[in-house]
Order: sequence, then structure tokens, then C-alpha cells
Amino acid sequence: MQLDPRGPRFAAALTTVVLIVVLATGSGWLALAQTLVFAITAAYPRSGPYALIYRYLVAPRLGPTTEREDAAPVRFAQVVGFVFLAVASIGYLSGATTLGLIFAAFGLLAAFLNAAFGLCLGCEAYLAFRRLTTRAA
Amino acid sequence: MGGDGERIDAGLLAALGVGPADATLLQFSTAFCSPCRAVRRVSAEVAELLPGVRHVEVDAESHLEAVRALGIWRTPTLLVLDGEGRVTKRATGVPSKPQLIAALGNVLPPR
Repeated sequence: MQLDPRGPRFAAALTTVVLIVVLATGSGWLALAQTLVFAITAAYPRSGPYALIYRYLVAPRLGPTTEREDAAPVRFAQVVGFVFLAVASIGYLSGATTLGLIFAAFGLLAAFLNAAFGLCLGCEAYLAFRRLTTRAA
Repeated sequence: MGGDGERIDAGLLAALGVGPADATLLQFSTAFCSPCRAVRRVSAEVAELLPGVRHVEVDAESHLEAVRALGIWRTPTLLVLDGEGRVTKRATGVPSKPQLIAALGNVLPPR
């Protein structure tokens, strides 16, 4: 599957804004909503809520692009985002506010780096993660 | 870019699919890595441009033993090997075409 690379960047920018609001208000329900967005986008990268906003409201104003990127890195990043925000949601909704704060802040950092610099933190860390979690033969 | 001059074990090189060549651009990639595509493009172009240079791309995940042995933590990592399998340069991230050509200039035999 191939994607217009500007779509995920736009989604990361929206995610950044949502996570700033989560941190400012401490809203567990908003964190949960963002968790769902991550889950849907990981499963269906072209039909995620932010991807749909991008396709129908933003892309028509930008004009076409010939550039395409593979969907695999994008999906992986969404899964990482899902895990972080799921923990943050549980934290906020169960009253463990500090836990929610820490994981929402990590999510914000990753989304911001992606939106501002196109850097995918999860993708960078993936090989190191595999090295450390797979036993040497 | 930094070099370390370490010589890679012949068996390890064979397992990675590195054959005889004057110089090899050995690229470690993962499926989730977007900049790996850029490194693939630059390396393939340089390998086409310079005779005696081969580009070999390896899926890091399916060669974790080599990844550990060679001290690779991130993708993309590109190793510039000389004809004897010594690591002369190591680049993480996307090198530019002139950088790669310069690195290979130190490795290729004079002609």
C-alpha cells in the first residue's frame, strides 16, 4: 500500500494539537478518542479519521503529488502511538494522573517530531527494540 | 560518517550475500524505515556510476546476529567495505551522493 506522504504529516500535526489539549485539560476521554484514532489508522491507513480529513479537506487545496511512501512505517508508528495513548487513557480515567501525563507527553513528543521534522521515533527505535528483545542464538 | 577499519568475518559476509567486489555498499534496512528508501536510491545510483562497486541491501530484522556483531542500532546504516571486507566508513542516516563517491574514492584501487 502506498500513501501520499503529506497525509501522515498532516495527521501528526493534528495529533500534536489534540495531545496538547489532552495535557492541558487532563481529559481521559479525549485521550481515549485519540487512542481510537490511532487504532483505526493502524488498521486502515487510508481510512483513519485524520486521513479522511486530509483527503477531503486538505489535499484538494494542495494539488496532486507524484511522491508516494510505503504504508508500513506509518502503520507501525500508529501502533506505537496506540500503545502509548492506551496507557495514558487508562492512567487518566483510573485516576493515575501521573501515568497519564507521562505517556501522553511521550505521545506528544513523538507526534511533534513527526509533524515538524518528518522524524518517526518509533521507526528509529524499532531495530534497537528488536535487538534487545530477541535472544542471541 | 566514521570508519572503524574492522574486518568482517568471511562467513558473516557470505551470509549477508556480499560477494567479491572492489568495494561494497552494505546497507541495513527495516521494513518500517522511510529513509532507507532514499539510501537505497543513492547507493544504487552510485553503484551504477562506479565500476567495481556493488550495492547489497540487507533486512536487518532477519539478520539480527550480524546486526549485533557489527554494532548496528539504527536503520538505515550503510557500511562501505573495501575488497577485503574491511569496514572503511559507516554512515547512519542518508548520505549524499558526493559523500558516498568520496568515501569510495579512498577504497577503490587506482586505475
